[in-house]
Amino acid sequence: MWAPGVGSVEKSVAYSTQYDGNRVDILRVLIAIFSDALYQSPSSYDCCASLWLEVATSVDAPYADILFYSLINVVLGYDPMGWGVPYGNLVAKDTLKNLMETAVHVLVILLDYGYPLRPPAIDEANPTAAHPIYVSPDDTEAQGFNVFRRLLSNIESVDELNFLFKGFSRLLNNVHQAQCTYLPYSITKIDVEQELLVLLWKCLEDIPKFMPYVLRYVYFP
Amino acid sequence: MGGSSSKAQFTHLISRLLSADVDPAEHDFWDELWKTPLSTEDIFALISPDAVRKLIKERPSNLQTLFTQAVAQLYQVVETPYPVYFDQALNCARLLSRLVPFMLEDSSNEDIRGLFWNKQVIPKSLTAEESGDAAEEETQGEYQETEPLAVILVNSLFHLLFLPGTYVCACIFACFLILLVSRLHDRRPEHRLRRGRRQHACLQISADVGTRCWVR
Repeated sequence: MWAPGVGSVEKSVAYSTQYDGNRVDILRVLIAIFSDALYQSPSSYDCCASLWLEVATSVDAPYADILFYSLINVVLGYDPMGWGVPYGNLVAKDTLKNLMETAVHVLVILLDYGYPLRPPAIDEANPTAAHPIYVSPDDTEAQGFNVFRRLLSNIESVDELNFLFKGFSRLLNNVHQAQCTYLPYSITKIDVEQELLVLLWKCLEDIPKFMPYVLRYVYFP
Repeated sequence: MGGSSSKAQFTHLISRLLSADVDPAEHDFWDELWKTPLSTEDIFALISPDAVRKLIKERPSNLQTLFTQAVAQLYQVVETPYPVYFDQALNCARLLSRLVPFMLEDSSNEDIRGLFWNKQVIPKSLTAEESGDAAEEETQGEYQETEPLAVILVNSLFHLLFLPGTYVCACIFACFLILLVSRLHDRRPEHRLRRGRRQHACLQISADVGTRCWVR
């Protein structure tokens, strides 16, 4: 595991930044091999068409759970403040930012494959044919099954939801902060807010307890 | 990383790849190509998109050798993680991240589709040059050899991300193992249901780490 957060009970999992460059290189290859969706036209886009992603998100992908938790922790555990000193980002080279930005790309790509997992309860309430396609979490052989979606939907403890929510609010707030500061360019500005919004959408869609948590937090912080 | 001499050398090697078919058995040439240390930025600067397209169009056999060897090396590093080969593996990874997007560009190209997805056997000579005990690996991983290269690539990359010593500290990895084991004793019923699967994963990872420490 690369960073503490979701999926690790112990807080002792420390950041290890010394291998960030190597990780970025490997993650880039992953992005490269998943890039075949770029060559489809938007109208003919099929979320299950990529054979590459089918292999990567199948249930027997090695280390899928560690990978998922590492990626999401690196992304949402990232703190754009750094040292908290203005212009500190220009003095120190922030390798973690690089890793975070690559990680969020890979994570969004991996989560985009396949169909959502729906709990059976909703299915019984709406037996009509009009409901969207979904895959049962146990049906690992079905087309569109995505082990990463299943891992995402397994997040349920309050601590983990809190970590997700804090991470999203910190990172999305950064865009606003970096633009409104009195000293231009003094705060590291993350360049991946669109990907973060997609990730937020995926979390709201796939984690059943996340939406109630967020709404409750907004009304009773 | 990557002095001007290695850049010049690399440019020379690439131009040779573009101008003539190179025999896969010509180990000196390929070794030199894989061992030239270059950063991602250098590789992206030295290989232009047009060069990659030209390679795909005019020298399919070179491309095939390049891709097969790169994947074979990544797989080899995962199987026998000697720290000596880590830099070489990173080189392969950088080169792949340059090549693959262009290879995916034309989905009607049957050659490339076949290269990715046809089941095939990796020639022994490719892995034998990596390490002396490759013969043992061959006999152990026979079923792996017939998988398509794409599957091997994806699996190797996932493994590479968590190779102790390059990407994760060994101690952190050990912490994680302890954590996994502690999760087995989780009292919550929904977690207990999955206990069998976790136990299996745990054992598998410990066995992996065990063999890796032993190898070192």
